[in-house]
Amino acid sequence: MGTVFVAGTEIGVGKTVVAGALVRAAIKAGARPAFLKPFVTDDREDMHAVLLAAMGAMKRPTKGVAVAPAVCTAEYTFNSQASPYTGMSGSGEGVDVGAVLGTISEMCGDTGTVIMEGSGGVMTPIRRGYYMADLMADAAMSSVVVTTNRIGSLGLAAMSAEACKERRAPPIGFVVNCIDPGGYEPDQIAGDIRDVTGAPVLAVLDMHGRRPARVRKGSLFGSLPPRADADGTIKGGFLGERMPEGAKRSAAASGAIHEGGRLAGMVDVLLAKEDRRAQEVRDSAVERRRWRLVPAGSGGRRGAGAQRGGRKKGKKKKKGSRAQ
Amino acid sequence: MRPVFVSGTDTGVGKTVVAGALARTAAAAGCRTAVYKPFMAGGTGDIAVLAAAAAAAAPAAGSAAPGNDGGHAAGTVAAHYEYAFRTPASPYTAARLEGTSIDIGAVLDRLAQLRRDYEAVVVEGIGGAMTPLLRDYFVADLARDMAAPVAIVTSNGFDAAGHSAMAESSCRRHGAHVAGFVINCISEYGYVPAALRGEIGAVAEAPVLATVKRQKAGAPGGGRYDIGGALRALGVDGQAGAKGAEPGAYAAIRAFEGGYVDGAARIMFGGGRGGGAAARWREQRRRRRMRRKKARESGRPAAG
Repeated sequence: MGTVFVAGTEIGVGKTVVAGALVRAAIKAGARPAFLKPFVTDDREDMHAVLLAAMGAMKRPTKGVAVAPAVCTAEYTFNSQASPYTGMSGSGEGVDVGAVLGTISEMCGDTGTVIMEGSGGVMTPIRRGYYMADLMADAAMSSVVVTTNRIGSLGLAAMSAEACKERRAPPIGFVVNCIDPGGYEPDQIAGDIRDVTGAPVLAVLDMHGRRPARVRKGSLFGSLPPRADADGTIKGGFLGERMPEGAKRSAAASGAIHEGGRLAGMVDVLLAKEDRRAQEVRDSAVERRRWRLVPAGSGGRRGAGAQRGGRKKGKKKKKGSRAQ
Repeated sequence: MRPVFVSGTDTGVGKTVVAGALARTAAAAGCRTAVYKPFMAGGTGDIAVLAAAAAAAAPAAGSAAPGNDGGHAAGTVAAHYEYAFRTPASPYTAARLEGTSIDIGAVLDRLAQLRRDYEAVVVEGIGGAMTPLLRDYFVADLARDMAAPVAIVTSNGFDAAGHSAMAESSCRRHGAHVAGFVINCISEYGYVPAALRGEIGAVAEAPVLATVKRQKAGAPGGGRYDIGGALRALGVDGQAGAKGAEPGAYAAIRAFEGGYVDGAARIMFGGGRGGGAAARWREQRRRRRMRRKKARESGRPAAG
């Protein structure tokens, strides 16, 4: 079973909706997908939305899906009134990239089918000198970039594609989520993205006028056992949490996308067997990124060192380690 | 003097307002100023905003009626564009839909002409830094071919830091020189300016040159400047979108009057071969380093 990283050109393009649809499709195809979003806003709306979308696909909610809600939920939730970077590094400690990668690697080994969602755009900073695109490269998944049909998205798509390439995380393709009724025509933007970026468009989601799928109601959260770890710590229990507004809407949109069969191309990717190399890349990244851990309060990776000399060294180190 | 290129992270971040404020700064300093927006899509309102911002007469002292003393009319201010597409889309898309072809050579020729005739030229891009003009020719390529320092305008939305880093690296990859960023606080719920400045400082190499504070809707200004007169004098009157130019022009004029773009103007217009920008950037880095050093010495012992 395969792994997919759902990235986006910016906030609010519909990454969660696409991720939810993929989870749903994977369940329908008989897989046991795990969903992972390392950095979530503290109302955890995205987690709820994907969970809800998964529920809709299951006959009996208690069986089946191992939706492991964001592994790092507890550590890396951030206030929805802050940007991911400020929110995540605001505590002064910054993000332990090695730990996040370790979890990813572990999950990929566990279930085999993993859908992971980024935050913000592909160059959203995670910590100093480490961006979402770097995480994409380290996660070694098939990444797709979600974009919209808004005027201006063509430039953003071109920019994102270049940034991904430069950071050695070329996406397997784009998903165009047509959320703007006044934007580009779906076929137009799909063709132009293909022409300008050279990357394929895997799916065009045109939902205008489509009836949203029904979302299963009932005691959803009560009936889903939170996933417990080997050492007994519960990762992301949803029991008793209030479901944020918007989660239902996202889940309904996911359902509609799945039922509309628009993701057929991506589902194939999701269900294709992953090659062994990907796991090796992931495992090596776990160790490689450990050194980025910085003691509390020293203000970033190069904060403590000399600015000029330190920077050049840092760059070299990164290149060298990439080549390993 | 080199032309100045105003680009952005995205459409709708306020490039025109910033470019207008820069143009007005140049005009107010007594330069013969040209504003140039080579590509427009979905109306010609932007060129009217730029022209009006640069040239509108200041109000006569003590009266609400527009006066004729402070304006910079035709002759000292000029406004030009090359392609105006009806379709609101990237130039690459719009040109294909409308069956026209884009000649980058003509755009560069016009710029050369303007540089001969005027002392300061403010060029405004279209869309973001990587909006395609041809299939494999982007706004960043145009900035490089114009040999103009680029100011990247960014909003204060939560994507701003990531998009700024992305736009800067795109410009660099395509060979354009990024002078710095201008933060335009258009979003009520976005970043606090200071936080965004810090974050851009962490992710990008170029400095933040200026921050345009958020302007309240319905801020004063209506009727104080002679926008129509300026547009008539410049010959951009009567075009589609010229009527709606007023709010944009006022926003630009307020940004100029508030002194928000002074920092950007000093670097963009001043100092010959980009020496100004580089010097300032070095200075900023030095200061930051000193601050860190001081904090380290006075506060907790050095980490690690």
